[in-house]
Amino acid sequence: MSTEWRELYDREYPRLLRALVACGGDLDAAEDAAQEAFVRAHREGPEWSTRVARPGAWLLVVATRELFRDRRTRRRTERWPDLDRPAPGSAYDAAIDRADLTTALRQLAPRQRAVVVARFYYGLSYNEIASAFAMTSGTVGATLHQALAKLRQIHVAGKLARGAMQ
Amino acid sequence: MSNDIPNEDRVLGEALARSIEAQSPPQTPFARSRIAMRLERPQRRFPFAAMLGAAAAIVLALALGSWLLELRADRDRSIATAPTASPDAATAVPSPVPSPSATAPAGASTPAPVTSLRVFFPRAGLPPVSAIVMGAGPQASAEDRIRSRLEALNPARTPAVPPGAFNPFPLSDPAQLRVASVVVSGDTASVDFALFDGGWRWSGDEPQVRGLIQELVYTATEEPGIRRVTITENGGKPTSIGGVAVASPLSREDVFGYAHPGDTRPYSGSGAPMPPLSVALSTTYSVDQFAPALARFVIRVDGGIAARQFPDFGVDLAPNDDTARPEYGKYVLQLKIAGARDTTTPGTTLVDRSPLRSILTSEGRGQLGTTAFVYWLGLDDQRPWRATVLFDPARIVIDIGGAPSAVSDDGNTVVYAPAPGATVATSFDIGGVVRAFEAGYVWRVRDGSGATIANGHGTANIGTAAVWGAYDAKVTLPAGTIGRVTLEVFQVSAKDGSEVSKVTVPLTAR
Repeated sequence: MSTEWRELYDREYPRLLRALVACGGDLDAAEDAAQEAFVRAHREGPEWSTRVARPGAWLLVVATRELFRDRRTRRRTERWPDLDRPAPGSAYDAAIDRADLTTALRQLAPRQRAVVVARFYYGLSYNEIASAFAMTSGTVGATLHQALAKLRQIHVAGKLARGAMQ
Repeated sequence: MSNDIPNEDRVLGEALARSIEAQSPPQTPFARSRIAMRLERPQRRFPFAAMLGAAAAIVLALALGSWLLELRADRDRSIATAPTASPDAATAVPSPVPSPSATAPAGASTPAPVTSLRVFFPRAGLPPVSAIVMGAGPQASAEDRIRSRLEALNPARTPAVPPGAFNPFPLSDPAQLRVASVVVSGDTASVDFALFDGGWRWSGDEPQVRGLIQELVYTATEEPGIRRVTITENGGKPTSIGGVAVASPLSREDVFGYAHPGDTRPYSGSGAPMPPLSVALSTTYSVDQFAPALARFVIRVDGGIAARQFPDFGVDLAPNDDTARPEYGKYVLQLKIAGARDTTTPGTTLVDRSPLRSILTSEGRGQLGTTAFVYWLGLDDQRPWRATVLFDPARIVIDIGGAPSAVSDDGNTVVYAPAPGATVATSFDIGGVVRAFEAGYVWRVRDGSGATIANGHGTANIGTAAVWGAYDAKVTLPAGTIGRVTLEVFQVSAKDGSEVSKVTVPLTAR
């Protein structure tokens, strides 16, 4: 049993953590949410892995819910800043460009962030997203459309602003 | 995934996916993950055989307890035909090995589930310490979890009660007292005890009374989201424990023994400005090592720093949302050090020694986008904290707690050594921290009659500053001094010359 959980953790945890950091920008909250998602999966009982078609998607849905719930709580009770972490190990410009995109992502509404990440980073279909996030397939399409339009707007504005400063 | 999305959107989405994939957040390995701890917990904390034994013992004790309650209720109602109890049954306590002759009463054939519960036990003159005991559970609701923790207190004995702590719960007759109801409203739990034959009005001495109140308040407020507890008796009637009224809501800070809770105003240390990543940090921690009930967190600063310099740092004590992060306890002390990097892997260290629950190490962001390193110290309560700076090598020292009687009411004088009640030789060292005008402090030793037999003064390593300065001195008593003496450490008011911020430490000279 422990081996199965270790394999699942090793396979899914890195991707889940990256998705959550991109969604929230707060390393600690992302870590918390990712860890909690695995614990909840374990609480579901031994048949969880056979019952759930895509464990990775299940973990993403539970963890994003936990992440945004946790962030709402934090805003009420804490005054500490988010712990942003720069993307290391890459050329400065490329890193800035990528960081801009993830920064832009964080300016979307929480639901939009989760749907964009589910679609493009996890590669889930409309139907899978609709089922996981309790939406209709049409709402998934509309949410994605609005999210990408806003993402493009924010990203382009950021690039223009950076170009103006150089 | 593609016909339903315009090409330009897909290109943007895929670029976003690549940017997410390019991130390298520090990752907790499986061995240190929560799920691994969850998988290993039963084996790690409680050897299987011992757990079985304890479980059986608790089931037996619970069965006996409920049977005795029924017996008492029957007797009180003057209804006859109660079974005959063994004379020893009333004082039965869980033992590691259940008696072979013990049998559960009829109707108790299904063993009640047991779980590990965090409770607190008092220490003489010090704040309580947490411990893990076995009790009924797991429970689904906050009310039931609080009840389980409180009901697990009465039977607890050594080794469940940690060294240095004691259990003042009225032990003579468990049936005298049980939790009748628990109601949670907001951050307050109202606990009603069913008391028989006087219940709380037992004749404990002052340390026992104070210890029992601490034990109940800390244990009841261990439930995440709960910060206060109201204790009543027999259907919500106000009650008192050893003459101390407890019907109004009590928090841990009301009962922990310090004159004031730790300061929640953010402190910003103005050290030397550092270029980003110019200094390397390494940390150590200790609990109860330098002084009783003292948690000490030391950050050593290496590289890019001149003598008597330290980097900018900030300290901020704030309530923790323990419903979201129970491993950090009730309060988190955040330290932020600008322009620094830590050589250790970011992550959480579970300490679990009161008052220090866990330590988070993480990279953060300082002002104007500079890099900073952030530490969170998860704490049991809001006890007083102090920041000190030591040199050669440069260290930022965060002290949390200490013996309450060794912390002056305003927190500006603290004595770490000798500990209250210690036995000292004719010559002994004193040490602690002061926050004093020009770092000045005075010490004095009085004999049993109150006469001064030795005195002196000194300066701490830092004065007239927001951080505390460390001091130490050697005290020499007159030859032949034996018996009770008191050490006083205080400051002299710059305004009127009066003695202020005084700490009195009782000692025995030999």
